[in-house]
Amino acid sequence: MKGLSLLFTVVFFAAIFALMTGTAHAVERTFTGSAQFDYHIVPSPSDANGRALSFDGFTTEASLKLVVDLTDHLSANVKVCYGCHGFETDMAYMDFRVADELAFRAGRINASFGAFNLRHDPGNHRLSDKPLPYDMGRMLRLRDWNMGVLPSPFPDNGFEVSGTHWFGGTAQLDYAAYGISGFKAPRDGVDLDFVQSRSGSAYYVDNNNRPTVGGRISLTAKLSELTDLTVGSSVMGGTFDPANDHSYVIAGADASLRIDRTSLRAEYLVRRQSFDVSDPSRFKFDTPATHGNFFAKHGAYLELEHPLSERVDGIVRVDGMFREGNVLAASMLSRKSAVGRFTLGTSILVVRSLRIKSSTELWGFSDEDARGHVREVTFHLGAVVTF
Amino acid sequence: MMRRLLSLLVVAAPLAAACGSPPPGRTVAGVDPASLPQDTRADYAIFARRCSKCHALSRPLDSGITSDAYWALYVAKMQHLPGSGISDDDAAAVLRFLRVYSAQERERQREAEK
Repeated sequence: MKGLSLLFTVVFFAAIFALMTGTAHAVERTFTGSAQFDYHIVPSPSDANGRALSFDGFTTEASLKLVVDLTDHLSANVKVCYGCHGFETDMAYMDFRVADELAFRAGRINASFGAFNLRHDPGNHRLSDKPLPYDMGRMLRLRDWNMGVLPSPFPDNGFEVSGTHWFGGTAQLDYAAYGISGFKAPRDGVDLDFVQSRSGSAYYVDNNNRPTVGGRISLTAKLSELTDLTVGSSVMGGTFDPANDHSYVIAGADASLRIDRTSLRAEYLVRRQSFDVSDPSRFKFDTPATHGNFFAKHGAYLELEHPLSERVDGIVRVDGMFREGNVLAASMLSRKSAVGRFTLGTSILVVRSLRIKSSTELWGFSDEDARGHVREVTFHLGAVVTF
Repeated sequence: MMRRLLSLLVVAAPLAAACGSPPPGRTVAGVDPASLPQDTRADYAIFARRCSKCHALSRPLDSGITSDAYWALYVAKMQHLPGSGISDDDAAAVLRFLRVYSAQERERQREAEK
């Protein structure tokens, strides 16, 4: 404990020293943003309605980010997004870099988890929607599945320590460790209640005074002038209910290979979450005395992005989720349920900064819906502008 | 509804392409290497490869930043992003290109203001 206090004191004063000795220059401001609008076409029979399956129709996602560099070491960052939930503060934090290997972020942050979140802005990826493990409401049957394993982005209040270290010019090691408020749900919740995380009615504060903690580590190796390979793993865990009776752990592993301008990405996530089984009548299946009080939700994707010309990129993605565990009585899901999707898409650079995105998605489900369907085909057509 | 949307896009895409032809020295996605000094073209190739890993090249190229000091600060920030793959040598090459590009942009601005 004494050693920890000493370490904290040294780091604190090193930080203050670095802050005071930062190169004095004019305060710089960078203003960036993006806007994507997308039409999700969900063909459905005349007696049915796409809304029962998903949010069909138009959606808009826009973001504005302002970075103010106060010194070489200290910056203030604010990013405001507009999407299906209205305006959200995606980021509002101070970033203080003491050295390459030690930086602090405090405020409303996107905690480091997985590879997809590093470029979650719609302006930075070539398809209109996210891989299923990170889905935040665009998937079919979103209500039954309650979205992805870890809906992205997931801004939260907290603190993060991170750093990067290069071994020569060939390998880059990155790490991050954080404490954030964490996800929320009532004590009798069977799954996380993501609305509570973005609703002012629950206040933008922790619901149980116990932080969720987590971290990420990744290694990037430059295999040649044209080839990078990154492997990473992430984990976070905490309690979600006000009484701290129930917990969740999310773990992930990712790998991405980039050869010149071609990217191959793969990621796997799993969330294990406990829930209250004191009232078995709420559930669709029996609740065994042992191992009956949790579910596990797995998700993965494999994605290939290849430039077909200077203007056109082709994208192929295979993704899916598998859920194992009890569900509420009214749920369409089974004790073991799966969803898979195959996506073929293109992204066309029309003019500088403006892309048209289109994709076709073939869906398959392990459970029949009310119409007895287990397959769907949907389409996305949209445009994104970045600046 | 779907037919209308498709019609709109079919009409809008060529119009947008026609209206938005890139300025001299630029291509639709980046910079025309022929517009750069011979000894900067390899640096541009590194810039294009590294920076396009996470974002479109138009982000830095259209940012309006022409200060070498600010580019140095910004490239250092990008270098620190997890998995950026931007080594010190890459950062030096990227900065060499951005200095040349910024000088060209400043010259263009001066010409435009005349």
